[in-house]
Amino acid sequence: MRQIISAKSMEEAYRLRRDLPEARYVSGGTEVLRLNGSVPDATALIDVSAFLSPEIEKKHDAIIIGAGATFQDIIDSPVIPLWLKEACGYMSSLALRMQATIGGNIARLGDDSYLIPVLLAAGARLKTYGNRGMLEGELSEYVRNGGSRYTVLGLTIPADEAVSSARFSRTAASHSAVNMALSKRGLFSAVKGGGIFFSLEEALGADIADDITGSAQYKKYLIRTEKERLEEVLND
Amino acid sequence: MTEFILNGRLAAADFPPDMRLRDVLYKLGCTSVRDSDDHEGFTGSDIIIFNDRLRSSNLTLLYKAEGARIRTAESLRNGREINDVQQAMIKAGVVQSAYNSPTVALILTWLLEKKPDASREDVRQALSSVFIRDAGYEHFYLAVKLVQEMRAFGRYVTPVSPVFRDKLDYIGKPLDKSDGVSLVSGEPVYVEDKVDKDAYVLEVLRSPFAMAYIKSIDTSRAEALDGVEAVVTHLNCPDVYYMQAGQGYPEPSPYDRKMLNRKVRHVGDRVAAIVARDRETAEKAISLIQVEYEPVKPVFSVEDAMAEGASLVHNSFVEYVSGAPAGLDEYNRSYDERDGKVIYQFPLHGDVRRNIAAGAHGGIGDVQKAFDEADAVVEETYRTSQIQCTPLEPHVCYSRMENGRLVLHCSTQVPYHVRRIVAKVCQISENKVHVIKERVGGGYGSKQDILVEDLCGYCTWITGRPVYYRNTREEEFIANSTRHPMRITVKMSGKKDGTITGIYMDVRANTGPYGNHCLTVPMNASSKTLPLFAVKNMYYDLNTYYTNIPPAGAYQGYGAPKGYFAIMSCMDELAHKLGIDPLEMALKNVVDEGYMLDILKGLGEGRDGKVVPVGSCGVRQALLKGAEMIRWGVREESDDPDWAIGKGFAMIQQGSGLPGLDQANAQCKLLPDGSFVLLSGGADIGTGLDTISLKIVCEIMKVDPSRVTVVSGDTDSCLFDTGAYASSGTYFSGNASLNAVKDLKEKMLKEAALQLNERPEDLELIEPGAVRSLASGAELSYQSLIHEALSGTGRGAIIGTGSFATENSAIPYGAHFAQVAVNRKTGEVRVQKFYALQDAGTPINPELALCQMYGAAMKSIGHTLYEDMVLDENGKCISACFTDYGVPMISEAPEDFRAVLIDVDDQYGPFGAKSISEIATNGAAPAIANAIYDAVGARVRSWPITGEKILRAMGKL
Repeated sequence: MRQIISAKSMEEAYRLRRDLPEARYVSGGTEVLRLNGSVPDATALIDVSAFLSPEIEKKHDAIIIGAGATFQDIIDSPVIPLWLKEACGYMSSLALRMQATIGGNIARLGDDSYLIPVLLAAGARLKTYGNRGMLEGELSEYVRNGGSRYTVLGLTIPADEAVSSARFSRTAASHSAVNMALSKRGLFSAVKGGGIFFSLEEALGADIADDITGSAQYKKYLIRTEKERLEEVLND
Repeated sequence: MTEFILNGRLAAADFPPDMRLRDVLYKLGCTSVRDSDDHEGFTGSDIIIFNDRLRSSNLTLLYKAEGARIRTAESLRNGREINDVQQAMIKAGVVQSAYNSPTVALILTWLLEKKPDASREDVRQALSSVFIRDAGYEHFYLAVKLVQEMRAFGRYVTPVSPVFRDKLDYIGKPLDKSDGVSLVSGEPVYVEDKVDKDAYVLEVLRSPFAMAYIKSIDTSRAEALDGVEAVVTHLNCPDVYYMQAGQGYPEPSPYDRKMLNRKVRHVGDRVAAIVARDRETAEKAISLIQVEYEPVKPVFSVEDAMAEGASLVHNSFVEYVSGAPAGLDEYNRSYDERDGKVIYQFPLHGDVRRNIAAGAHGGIGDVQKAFDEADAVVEETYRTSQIQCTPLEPHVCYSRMENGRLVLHCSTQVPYHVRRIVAKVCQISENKVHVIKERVGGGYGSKQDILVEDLCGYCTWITGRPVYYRNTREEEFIANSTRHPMRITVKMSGKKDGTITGIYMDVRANTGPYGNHCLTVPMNASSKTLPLFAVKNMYYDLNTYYTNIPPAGAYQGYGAPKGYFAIMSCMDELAHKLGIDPLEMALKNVVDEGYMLDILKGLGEGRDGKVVPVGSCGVRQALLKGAEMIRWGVREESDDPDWAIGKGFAMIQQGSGLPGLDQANAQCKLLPDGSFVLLSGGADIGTGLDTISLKIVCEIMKVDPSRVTVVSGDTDSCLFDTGAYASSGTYFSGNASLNAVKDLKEKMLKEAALQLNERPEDLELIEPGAVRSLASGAELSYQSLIHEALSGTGRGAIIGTGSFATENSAIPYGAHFAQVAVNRKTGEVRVQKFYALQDAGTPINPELALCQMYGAAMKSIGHTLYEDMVLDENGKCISACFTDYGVPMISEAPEDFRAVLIDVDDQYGPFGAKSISEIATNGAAPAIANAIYDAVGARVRSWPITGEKILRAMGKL
């Protein structure tokens, strides 16, 4: 039987994770419990949903989103900007959107991530918890560090940021070949078989695999070509 | 103990907290909550309402349910009454194989609670989590509309379908499907619901190699494990050669396998079968089996298989039951005994020393002369990919012993072939085998093959244990039947006036490791396409090759969708080369009723074909009406300059069963109270075949549907039927039912004449179930009639028996039109409009017919644009789950999707009916490919037509 521990606080969750190095956090469960997900079946789980906030609130010129908010919570929220709603809508299944938390999706750092490109483009900041306690920093730093063992507690995005994005996949429910976003900060992309990139040049120069979503040449072509359209959208 | 509120009542679940909630709910009796994706979170069979939100119960562990409020589809039913959403779904015709119908009913009920005026977009969003393979998605919108109408007006306003044949009461009119209530409610009607708690499990150790000899296999440690009942390998399985295709005996496929073989021929091939008391023990036993393989360099493509010096997939000893060719002894000198045997029932032009499983050739006229004298000739090669049927209910079997007989609960299209083949592998007579076809949660051809019943039944026979087997979703991809990949070269010539003068098809099919349907499926690429053309010079060559890809077999449409992709694409290319409108060319060269089909002479699928004229034929009406609907010839402009819009079409045909090969039988009994039971050998696989039989009884006997029950697919109680494949259900099984009911009517009139002392010819049947004399006006109720017949002085039970076999064809025709938008910069494709127009003769169940057209067209759209079984260099399928494979969901459905029934009456079908669903898989690929070309000038000649391929065809990559 798989061990399941429900943590009541972040401190407890962190302590448990330290004592059980192989254990994984679980909240919504759509990634951790999914067939071919990132976590083997027998892995011990630390349920963090009791203390992860699902709240979404606007404070001055920023929007604060708890890591426990689901994709659909974000879509339904009146304070969330359209670009983030659109990105959450890239997860095509309503049932999954009602279950999957934004914290879990960010922590996964997938190369077909629905959210990382737009959040990078928006200059999102993350609140995390780790061996140095509670920290707040740039999402970009978290991504560059590969996520580390810091737990995502929430994020902050600017309320008035302009972001345009595009997702290319064979079907709405398939893995994306390319998910990309553009803002004044630049172009950011999650490329299947490649990873997460912080600029056009980085993506085009990267070693990207040919896979079931398409060839590396195709993916790079999309990034290069779609950037022009995203610029037009942004300028509009 | 976990406590939660389940459907309004407190539930206490005494299961491990890490158990998936889906499994808990099922064990608590919520059989509507199913698993069709092994907790991938894709298909939605497991969706519940959890604290008033949709949630995947497979992706939720039990501990999470503590204190939760949970609703399943069981909550929608009040006693025997289903709710208005469920009623509307049945009315709309979407409850077909229905594995996901309960979850859809639950979701739509929830949606309409939240938003009674839910829009089309609301429905689309709500159903975004649900995969539907059988009925397409279109009539789910209609179901919601019907609910809204009923709530607003107390009645349905929107017709669910057109109606046909004014003089008939039931035929051609919508009627609630006979199994609709049980299916939409989630009643325990599938094989998995019949499994006893003490059943043993069967697990299969599968090959990691695409081709290898098993040098040694040590099962001793597995056999010694407590709880292991049996381990079966090639060393101890019966020395019986057979094949798994459920075709009429003697089959036009080679017997090229035993249950387990010394040579494995694809990744996923059977190596050992383990029967154990539970899954954990079986998995442990598998891990204890030691196998030493001697790998052989595999071949994956037709080109690989054809290459000089290619590895031989079956370097076997070849035998013929009849018609052995001269020189067979010499031919067999080079065989490898480790490869076993290949036994042909009769010659199929196979040559296993060249990896050829079967071949055929034939034609009319002089194609070379036609090409030489033509104004233009096009010769191109088109490729289709390997496609998975993806029934929501995977292949499954539950077998048990009862009174010394082997009983199999099956999800099958061919109960009688299951009986025959299981008896053969068990080396027992057929009377020792009882097959019960349960409701089938999707077949689409793949359940025409006996892929699990052989092994499961055998394991019960040798152990005496009840044994349950169910494919995982991955096994569905790697060890199941799929569409044969094909390489089809078409050469077509024409005159400047648009006359097609010659057609040549070179079909090279890939049957994979075994020869299931290796002749018949590829033959359909030509036999279902060439007869649509009124062309004097036509010829085809067909060769089917063994390779080491996952197995191929039957899939809805057989080889026709591939043939149509090639031939209608080529016709489009020829029309453009000649500067002629492709529609004009189609109309100029399509057959009409009465056209003598000389081409059939060479299209007999292993026997001589019979030349007959075209019968009832609605293809011309379909072409003209479709062209009008889609505004053919009018160039549509997009608001966005990045998107170009194009149109394409395909004319299509199929068949209705296999005249000269198929046979169906039925019986109809008059019960003591004057009601009826019809026993049909036909296998209703969700398509409404039982409802067809029911309507036939109602129509002829003049009784209400509540007084008729149809029992089908039970090999003990029902008579033989070749099965539900090749579009045979309505035509063959329906005609057998019709003949049985006619026979019963005749016997009832004869008995009534004796009882009334009148002449049978003076009697008629009248509503609501009585015999009336036209001469005297006397009436005799059915109840009185049968009561007297069954009395101590009566003449006995009144039973009608009907059989149907024929040489006549009832061919459905049609035309499919597509309008697509293609992004010039990214290659993305959106199917804006898809119109499927088909002549199904008299559609007996018109609302079900429409949904089958939507479903089949949707499948074909999926094959054309998205679906792809991708193998790595070692032959392992790397897209063996739904997310990777890419089935179309509601988001991929055309924005404007219409199915239209062309009204044509057929002379041979029951009440003029023809088949409906297979033909609907034939049009999308060429229609979409031609539309893409029309939009951006990119000709993509291989499936799937991805954005990347379009960009390459446009020269942008």
